Formats: sequence, structure tokens, C-alpha cells
Amino acid sequence: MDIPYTVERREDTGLYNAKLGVWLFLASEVMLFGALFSSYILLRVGADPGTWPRHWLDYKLGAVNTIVLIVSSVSNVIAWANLKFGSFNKYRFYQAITIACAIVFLGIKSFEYYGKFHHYTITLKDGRIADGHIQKNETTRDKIVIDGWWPASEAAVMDPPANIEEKKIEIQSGEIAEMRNYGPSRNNFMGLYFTLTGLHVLHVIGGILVIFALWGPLNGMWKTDPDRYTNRVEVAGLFWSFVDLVWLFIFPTFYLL
Amino acid sequence: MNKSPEQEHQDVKRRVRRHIIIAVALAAGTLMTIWTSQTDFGRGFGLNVAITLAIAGAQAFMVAGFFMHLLSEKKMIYCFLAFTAVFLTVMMGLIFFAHMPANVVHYK
Repeated sequence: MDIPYTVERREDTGLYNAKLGVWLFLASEVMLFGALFSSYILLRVGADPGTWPRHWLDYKLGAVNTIVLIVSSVSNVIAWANLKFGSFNKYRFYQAITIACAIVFLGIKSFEYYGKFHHYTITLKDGRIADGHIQKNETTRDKIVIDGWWPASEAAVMDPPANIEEKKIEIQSGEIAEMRNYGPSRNNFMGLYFTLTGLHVLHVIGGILVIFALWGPLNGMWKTDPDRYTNRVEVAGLFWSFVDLVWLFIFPTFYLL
Repeated sequence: MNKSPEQEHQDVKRRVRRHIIIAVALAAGTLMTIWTSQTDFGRGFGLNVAITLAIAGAQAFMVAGFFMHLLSEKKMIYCFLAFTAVFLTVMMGLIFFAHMPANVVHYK
């Protein structure tokens, strides 16, 4: 049995079915991310002055990732345009760029996550606060070693100065009252950061798996049913552009403002 | 009417050129958001937030309009998106209104 309207357009909608479906799916995605952004705005507006973190994320890494996603989006659209006009090899070339960019994006994101889970604020029993990245090679059961600084107060941790001179700090385990890393349980900001960017990363992984499958294992359809194959590439591309679009809001919201 | 291979080639080249221009504009927009978020406009941080998010909105428009071909889509999709916009607005409104009564109750 043939599935109808995989290539030809329905008269009532003016669209082939996969395109109709992907736009409905994207509409539901808008609601999903919209709810999370609403939560962010509400929590941020409701936070007491000085309790909302600033400059906790490296905006340079965020900017690089933004550019990487933009390049992947444009290469994706160019790949589809080439396919539309029958240049399969050029499609493969540009789509390879898309896949490479997605891998770079995930690599940078992993690096950021790794840094956050190894970044600690350590409160000592005498009230002093140390903040920095754990040096795993030098840390032992009795002694914690971090590359970091001594914030004057909790407020300084929330909004650290731009040019911190980090140095090696050794703290005996017996001196420590509390240790908190910059993971999702740290506060609302980090919780929302990991939730939103984690969900976005899942979308990147899902999107690139589909793009890769069409690019590699499933590209035989180009020979048997090129129009349907082109349509599949188009709907995958629509999803990929949406992933880029979401990031364009995540970047300024979390990294800059 | 079928296009000749030469015309098709020109079409692809035109599309590629347009998409590259948009990508450059998006990259420039990203750099602008960094600048606007760090510059003191002398009217409080609220203005920085507004300008930065306006640039992000313009970037999103370019991605949706050109990369997702929304500027030349069918009415059915505009209809879906109009409903989505309404539902999103209502959802955001409900979240914010849910926060408001607490202020009203505690206000003296």
C-alpha cells in the first residue's frame, strides 16, 4: 500500500503530508520551549536583587557555538537547494559540513558542561569562600586543590569581576564547611540552564541523527524516488533550522543578560 | 515550463548567495548582541535587555523567514503558527498572572 501525499501536494492543505506534520510538530516545540523560557523570565524577574547570577557562563564559547550553528543551518539549506536542482554530490558535501558543525557544537557544549561540574564554591568553617575549578590530579582525600580565587562574599560569587586572577588554592578537607559545584542543583539559574540547554542538545542529537541517516545509510532513495528523498531532506532541514532558532534565544538569555 | 540546466545552475547560485548573505547577517547580529549586552546606554540594564532581545528576534525572523522559507509558505502553515502564537501568549500570560495575585495579597 502506498502512503499518499509523500510527494504530491494535497489539494486542501497545499502541502505534502510530511511538511504539514513537521510544522505541527514544530508548533508543539514552540510551546515546550516557550514554557521553559516563561519559567526563566518569571524566576529571574522574581529574584531578589543580587541573588541572580551574572557572568557565570563563558559568552565567548556561547558565541562560537552560535556561529557554528548558523554555519550548519546555512550549509543545510544550501545542501537542500543543490538537491532540489539535482546536484547530489554537492548536497552530500554541504550536508557533511552540517554534520561536522553539529559535532563541533556538541563538543563545545560537553566542554562547557564538564567545566561546570568541576567548578566549585567552597565555604570554609571560618567563613571564607573559595571558588574555582578542581584540579583532580592534585586533589587527595585530605586536601582539595583548585585553580580559583577568594570572593569577598556570596554576592561576589553571584557577579564575579571580569578579570579574576586565578591562582592555585590548597584547602585541607577538615577546613571545609560546604562544597557546591555549578551543576543543575546549584540554583534556579543553573537548573534552568541545564534543563534548556540539555533539551536543546537532545534536539541537536536527534536532528543530526536524522540528517546523517539521510546523508548516508538511507541515501539509496535518491535513485529510486528522488522527489520523496528531497522532501525528507527538506523536513529534516526545517527541524534543524528550528534548533538553530531556539539557540539564538538561549545564547543572549543565558550567556549575555 | 522546464528550466534549462544553465538556468537551474543560476537559480542554485542565486539561492546560495542569498543564504550566505543571511548567514553573515546572523553572525553580525550575534556580535551585536554581545556588544549591546555589555554597553552602558545610560538608561538602566532594562534597555540592554530590550535591545539584545530585539536583535535576537530579528535573527530568529531571518532564520524562520529565509532558512525555513516561512516568507513564501502556504496559508495553512501561517494558520498553525497564528494558533501557536495565541496559545503561547496565553500560556505566558497565565504564568505571569499566576505570579501576580501573590503580590496583590501581600500588598499593604
